Amino acid sequence: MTTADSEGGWAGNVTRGFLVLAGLALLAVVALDPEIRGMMLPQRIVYGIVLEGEMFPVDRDTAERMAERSQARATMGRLEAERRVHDRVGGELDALFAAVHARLPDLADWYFSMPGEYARLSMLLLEQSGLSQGDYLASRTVAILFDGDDPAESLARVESLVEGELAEHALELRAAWLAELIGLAQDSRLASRGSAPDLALQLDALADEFGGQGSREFMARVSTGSASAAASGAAALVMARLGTRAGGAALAGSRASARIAGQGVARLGTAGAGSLGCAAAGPAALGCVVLVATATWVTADWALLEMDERLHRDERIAGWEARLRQLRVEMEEHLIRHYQDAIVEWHAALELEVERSFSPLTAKRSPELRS
Amino acid sequence: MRHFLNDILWLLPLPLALIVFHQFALDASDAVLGVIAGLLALVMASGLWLRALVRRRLFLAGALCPESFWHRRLRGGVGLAAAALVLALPLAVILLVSTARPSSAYFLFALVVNVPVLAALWQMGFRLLDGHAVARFHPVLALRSAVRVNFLLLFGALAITALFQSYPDFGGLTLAQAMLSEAGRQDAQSQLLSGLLQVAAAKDALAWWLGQQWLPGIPGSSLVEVVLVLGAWTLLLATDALAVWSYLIACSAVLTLAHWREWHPGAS
Repeated sequence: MTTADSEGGWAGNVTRGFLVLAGLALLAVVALDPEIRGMMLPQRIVYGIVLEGEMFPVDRDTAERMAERSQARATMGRLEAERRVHDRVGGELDALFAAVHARLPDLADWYFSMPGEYARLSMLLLEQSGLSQGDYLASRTVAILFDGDDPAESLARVESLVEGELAEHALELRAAWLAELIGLAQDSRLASRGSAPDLALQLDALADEFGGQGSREFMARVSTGSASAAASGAAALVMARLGTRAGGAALAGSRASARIAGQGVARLGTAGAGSLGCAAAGPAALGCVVLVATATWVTADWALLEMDERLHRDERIAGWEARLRQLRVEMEEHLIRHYQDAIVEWHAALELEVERSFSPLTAKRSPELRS
Repeated sequence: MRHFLNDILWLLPLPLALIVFHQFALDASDAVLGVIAGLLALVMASGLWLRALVRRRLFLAGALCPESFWHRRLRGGVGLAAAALVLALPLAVILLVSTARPSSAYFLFALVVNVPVLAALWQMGFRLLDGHAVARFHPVLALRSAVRVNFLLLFGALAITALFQSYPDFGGLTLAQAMLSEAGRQDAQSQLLSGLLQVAAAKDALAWWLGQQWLPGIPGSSLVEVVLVLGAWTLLLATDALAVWSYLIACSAVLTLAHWREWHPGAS
C-alpha cells in the first residue's frame, strides 16, 4: 500500500463517512417529521368536499370537474325550469280558457235576453246615480263565464300548480346534482390519508340554493306576489276585454239606431193608444196610455233584441273570443314574466354560489387553509 | 471501515425508497403499486435465491461426491429461484403495507437507524467467524448470522417502543366494533391497498383490544409479571415480526446483490 493509496483511502473514507452521516441524519429526520417529509416530498393536495355533512376527499381535477358540473347543472336547471313554467302555465291557462270559451254562448244568451238587457240598463242608471256601488255587470259576466267560480281562485290554482312544479324541479335538480357530485367523488377514490384535507369546500349552502331554499329563497320568491297581483285584476281584465262593463257602450254601438227606433215606436204606441181607445176610458185613460206605451216599448225592445241577436250574436261571440284570446296571451305573459324573473335571479344566485363555494380552488396550498 | 461505510451506502437507498413509498403510496394506483411490489419481490427473491444457492452448495459439498449425477442436478436453478420468488412476493407485500400505513413514522425511523446496525453486525459476524468459516462462504454465513441477530434487536426495539405508545381506547367497545372502527379509518386510492390496510388495521385493533382487556399496562411490582406482560405483548405483536423480517430480507438481498461477484459459488 502506497502513501498515495493511504491518503486516497483516508479521504475516501472521510467522504463516505460524511455521506453516511448526512444520509442517515436526513433520512431519520424525514422519517420522523411529517412536515419536513411533506416539504421535501410534496403530496397531491387533497380537497375535502363537504356534502350532506359528509366529507369526500378528492383531487384538484375532480374538484374542478365538480365546479364545472355544478355550473352546467345550474344552467340546465334554469332551462328546465323555464320549460316547465311555459308548459304548465300554457297548459293550465288552455284548460281554464277552454272552459270559458265554451260558456260564451251562455253569456250571449244572457246578453241578448230581456232580463240581461234591463239589468244592464237599470244597473247602469243606478251606478250613474250613485245608488249602487257594486259592479253587477262584471260579477254577472264572471259568474257566467267561470260557472260561479272566482277567477282569482282559478288563477291561484294555476299558480299553485306552477309553484309545485318548480318546487319539484328544484328538489329533483338538487338530488341529481348531489348524485353527480357524490359519484364524481367516489370515482376519484382519493385517499384521505387519515387526516384533515388540505382545503375544505363546504357545498351545503350550494345544495340549499339548488333546492330553492338558499339565501335568495327562490321558492319563497316564486310563491309570493304574483298570485295576488294577477288574481286581483283578473275580473277587471275579463270585463275590460269582453266589453260588457259599459252596457250602454255595448248597446250604443250596434244597437244605438235600434234603441232610437224603439223609442220612436214607443212614442208611436203612445199616440196610437190615445187615438185608438184610451180616450174612451175616462178617468183611467192615463193608466191605459202608460200600459199600452209600456207594452209597446217592451214588445218593440224584445223585437229589436231578437233582431239584434239574429244579426250580431255570432259577431259578438267572435269578438269576445278574440278578446279572450288576447286576455289569455296577456295573462300568460304576465305569469311567465313573473316566474322568468324569479328563475333568472335563482340562476344568478346559483352561479354566484358555485363560484363562491369553489373559490378555494384558486387559492394556493397553505397550512392556514387546513381545516 | 471502507466496507462498513460502503455497505451502509448500499443499504441507504432502501429506507429512502420506502419513505418515498410511504409518502405517495396512498395516492398510487393499483398498477403502480403492482409494479413496485413486483420490483421489490424480484430484489428480495434474488437475495433469497443466492443465499439458498449457497446453502445448497454447502450441503452438496458435504453430502455428495462431486462426480455424482445428483450433485449437478441439485445445484440449484429455476426451482430454487421460483421458490424464492414465491416466498419473496408475500414478504414484499407485507413490507410495503407496513410502510404505507399512515402511523408508520416510528417504523420508518427504525428502518433508517437499522441500516448502520446491520452493517456493523455483519462486520462483527465477519470477524467472529474469521478462522471458523470456510473462506468462500465466510461473508454469506456472517450476513446470515447478522440478519438473525438484527431481527431480534429490531423486533425487540419495535416491541418495546410499541409498549410506550398511545393507542385508541377500546374499553367500551366489543372486539368486532374495535376492528371495524380501525379498519374503517383506512383509505387509499388503490382498492387493493385499501383492503390490505384495512386488514392490517383490524389486526392491530385485535392486538390492542386484547392488550387492553387482558393485559392492562405494565405492573411494576414483580419482575415476573413484567416479563409475562412483555412476553404477551410480544406475542400479540408477532405479526409485526413479519414486517421486520421482510425488511431484513430486503436489506440482505441488497447486500447479496452488491457483493454477488465476490460470493458467487461457482460451478463446483
